[in-house]
Amino acid sequence: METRLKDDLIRLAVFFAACLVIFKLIFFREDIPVVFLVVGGFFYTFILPGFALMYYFNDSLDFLERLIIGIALGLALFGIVAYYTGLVGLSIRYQSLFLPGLFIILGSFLHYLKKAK
Amino acid sequence: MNLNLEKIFLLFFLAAALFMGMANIFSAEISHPYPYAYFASDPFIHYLTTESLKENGNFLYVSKWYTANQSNVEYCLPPQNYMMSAGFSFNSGLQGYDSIYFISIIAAVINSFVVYLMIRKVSKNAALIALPFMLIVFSKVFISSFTWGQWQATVAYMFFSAALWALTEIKRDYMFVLFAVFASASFLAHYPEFIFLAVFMLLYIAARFFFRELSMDEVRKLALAAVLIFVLIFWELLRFYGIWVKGTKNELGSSELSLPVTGIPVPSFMDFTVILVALIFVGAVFALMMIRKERQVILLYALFVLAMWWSNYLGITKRTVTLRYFAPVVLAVLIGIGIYYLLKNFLEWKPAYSISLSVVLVFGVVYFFMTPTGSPGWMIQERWDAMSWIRENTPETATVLYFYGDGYEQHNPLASTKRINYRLLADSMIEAAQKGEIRRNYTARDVTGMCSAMEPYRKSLLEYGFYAREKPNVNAHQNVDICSFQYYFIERASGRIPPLAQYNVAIGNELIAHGATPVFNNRLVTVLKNNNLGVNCVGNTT
Repeated sequence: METRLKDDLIRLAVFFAACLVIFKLIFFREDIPVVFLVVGGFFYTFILPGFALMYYFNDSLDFLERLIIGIALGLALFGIVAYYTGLVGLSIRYQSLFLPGLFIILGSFLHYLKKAK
Repeated sequence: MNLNLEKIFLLFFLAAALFMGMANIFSAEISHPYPYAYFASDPFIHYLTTESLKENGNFLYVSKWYTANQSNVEYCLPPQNYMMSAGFSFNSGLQGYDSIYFISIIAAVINSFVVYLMIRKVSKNAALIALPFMLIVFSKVFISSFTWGQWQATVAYMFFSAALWALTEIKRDYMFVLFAVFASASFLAHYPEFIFLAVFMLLYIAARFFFRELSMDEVRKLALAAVLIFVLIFWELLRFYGIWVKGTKNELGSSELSLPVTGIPVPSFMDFTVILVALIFVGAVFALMMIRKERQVILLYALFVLAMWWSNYLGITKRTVTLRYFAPVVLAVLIGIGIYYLLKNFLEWKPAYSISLSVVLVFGVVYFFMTPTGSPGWMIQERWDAMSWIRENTPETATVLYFYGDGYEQHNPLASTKRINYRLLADSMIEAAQKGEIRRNYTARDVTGMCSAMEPYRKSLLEYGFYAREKPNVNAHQNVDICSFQYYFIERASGRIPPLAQYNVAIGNELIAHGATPVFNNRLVTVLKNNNLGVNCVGNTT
């Protein structure tokens, strides 16, 4: 695995852990499983797909930029794609499961293509 | 500057934003047993739209329970928030009402970070100092944008900022794609913010063109972005034209110049406090001096928002209010610049000062500005339990009549039963109560519909019909026979008009005396079932 990718994945894992701690501290009345599901659900649905797609810019943008813009990108793309695929008959229930995965694969593919150039 | 220190500070800011915004509104819980901290009718529109989407799986047609039993009514609102919220709801296990609220507040936090990234390109010190002031968006009257349900705008402004960030990087390969995606998402979240973005873009391009800074490569990329945006929003553009432009042409173009807008809390400039107002204008002067040398997008954006604060005088009153709600995030840029460049004149500034100052400022803003919401809002457990009982135990076509209840004039929550709902109008009940009568007929209104004046359905590609206008009984006041309803929703107490609650009970007793049976009961609400539909259910009582 590339060193840079490995570093980024470690940073992402640290960010995930930090979010879990922050959410549990701030929402102190909430049960731990709920906090885990909410933070995990948000990471899977929006953060990981956005970050994977932003990895295309990994040589020109720093981790922070790719992370923050990646979250906005994950939110934007999920909404747009789910809207149109929904209109052609694919239920949001199933899209919520596979769309994030699809974006992660697409992000990896774009990174591979750029590297192959 | 140590980069890790910056990241640690950003995590600290995230915690402060969640504390001051989401945890404050949500009472330190994420999931709730009922729609929590919904303070107006609009949040319920968003929640029920998410519910309808989750049920149907797509954004084609609104569920029948939300359309006065029509099967081909389209959503009158744009889809972005609801798609994100429904997806997040499925993946997190949160209920739709918590999921969409969560997404809306988190969007404001992300917006702060995106604006931070932009100002960081101008000055990292100014960016760090600006960040704490962005928390003001979760304070005073500004917090109403969340509790009163301006959720589409919250999300649209986040995409607006992200689009501007992409604009600052447009020279990079394929960055125009990101610009197009964010601009399109802004349109799909809330149309007015896209229009603001378009106006800003035109001014920005005109300024760059005037100063001969626009390269052919940039023009080519912006043109490609425009084509991509057109493709991405095409279908929604047709809906926007058919429903909002063509369908409401007689209602647009208000020339109202004054604030407040009816029924909405309006932020005033002094909500920032005198000191911060002064700093905003000091920052504006520094920003003007800086953009003379370089057209930095974030500085133009901040000055644009400052100018648009008074855009109500251009006749766009309601949208000005929305812009004001989210202005703290962008005007904080001017405050940060104002403080940093003022201090820089007197001190030999070190980066460590910025982080130390920012930590103090975060505590200061939380201490001086935090506005506890401290209430569950419109919905309370007893109401929710009764509505849930109806939703789970009655046929889908059941008709429900709501007697008087505090806050029922904000009637969207009543659709939470997912049945065909009517509510008796208080005036009609007061008139009868004053005469000591319990009548069979009262004035009521249908409260099922989503966008009360619309109920749009497609006639052709560009033409919409509107059930709410074509059928006089949809969303209109009408004389109803209470004996024709299958269920009655009766609140037995009222903080606002206690005699009407007593009158509710009196009608309920009369209904029971004539054959209705209580099927649900709790501390506040009784639900009655009418067993003799259409037959005289109240006698001739005075």
